[in-house]
Amino acid sequence: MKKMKNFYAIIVACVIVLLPVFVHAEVSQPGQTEETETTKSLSAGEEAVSGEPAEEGVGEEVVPLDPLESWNRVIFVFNDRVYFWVMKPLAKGYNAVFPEPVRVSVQNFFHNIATPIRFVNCLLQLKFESAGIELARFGLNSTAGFGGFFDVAKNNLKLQSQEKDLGLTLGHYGVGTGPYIIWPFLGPSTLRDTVGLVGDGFLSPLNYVTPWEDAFALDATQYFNYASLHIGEYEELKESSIEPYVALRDAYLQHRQSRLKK
Amino acid sequence: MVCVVLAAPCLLLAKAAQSPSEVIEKFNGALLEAMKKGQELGYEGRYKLLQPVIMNTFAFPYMASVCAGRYWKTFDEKQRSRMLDTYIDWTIATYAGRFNDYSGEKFEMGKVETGQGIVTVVSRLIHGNDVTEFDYRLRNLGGTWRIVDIQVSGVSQLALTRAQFVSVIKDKGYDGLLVMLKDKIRRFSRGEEG
Repeated sequence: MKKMKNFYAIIVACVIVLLPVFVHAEVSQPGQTEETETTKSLSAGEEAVSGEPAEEGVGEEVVPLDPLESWNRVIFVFNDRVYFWVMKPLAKGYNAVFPEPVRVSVQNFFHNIATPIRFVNCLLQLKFESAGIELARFGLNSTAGFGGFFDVAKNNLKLQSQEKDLGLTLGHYGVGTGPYIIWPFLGPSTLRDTVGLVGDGFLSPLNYVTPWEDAFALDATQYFNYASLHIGEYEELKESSIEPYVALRDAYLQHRQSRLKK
Repeated sequence: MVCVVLAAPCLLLAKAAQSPSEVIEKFNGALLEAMKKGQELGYEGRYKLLQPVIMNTFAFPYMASVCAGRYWKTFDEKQRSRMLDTYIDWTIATYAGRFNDYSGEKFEMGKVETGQGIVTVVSRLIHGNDVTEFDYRLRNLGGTWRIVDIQVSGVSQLALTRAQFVSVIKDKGYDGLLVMLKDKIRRFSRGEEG
């Protein structure tokens, strides 16, 4: 509990300290559109091929709101080093000890425990059917799925998880993304998603585990387990891009935008 | 001889009438072959295998112009031509570099949706329990269906590339972009990537 308070205190302090900078930066961006909170440029499709419509799905060329780019790039390099020098070797060792089915089950367990986050955000978005699915999934997976280690709801009944969080809920009600931020260890985010992360934290049962050593152990397990199942994805992004910082930023913002539309 | 003359237009028509799904199936087939023969062929072999298929599958002139964003109209014809060539080379090199090994992967075709002149063909790459869904977006250009974008998890690869190209051109100029693309191609060819 103490750990959770400290974490939130740091995040909240950062947000409070940086908020005026973000607000100023947002105001000072020329040509900003309300819809995407980015500076609008020209329609790539229109200008690229005379008479051709802008490509559906690609949309207009936009310049992401990234007033903290210099700082973000420093953290990007830091996270890159942490991943390759610490996380990846540790995750590989973890993989060697625990076979993939075990790690998938562990991930299912943590995903099941986080149901309150998705359930409450479905309700906040007035998506009652989605909330019902989350509730049904929790009931099924917690019982027939042996405490959530097996995702029987998805595998047997095709009940897909409703991936909702507070960042998306805020977006659902028209709150803009705010500036792009990369947090040490946590990776890419935006001001809106950071606020969402803090709010969601209050709904996560893991943040109420005591003593703090147990909570830390659970967090670390979840972190490494997740990393162990996603080794290679970051490498793929780096390999297929010529500007990894921009690629990660654009991929994150596009991905969040696509989830908002669902 | 007469038969050949009479059949030729039919054959051409058949080629032109290749459906969006068939275009993707052929592309998937080439990727799978590159993966299965990956080690045997090496980078150069995979490049040669994939080059004709990729050239006939992607709408490169359109994609290159979109990727250059607002800068495209500032380029002269010679610059556009050089960028297009390098963009094609980089695309093929990326596929040849990355689809280099086979460990039981298979492709599965999904639904096909049509809207606003765009056909979206869903294809899944299955590797054990991992399933990656690709939404191929095609347009009919001059009678043939060609890929104009690929979306993975809601992320448009064309928009992703455009974001990078525009950023690099802004910071390092047109020549800087070409240098970076050629460096990436060289790294793929040396096996430093992929």
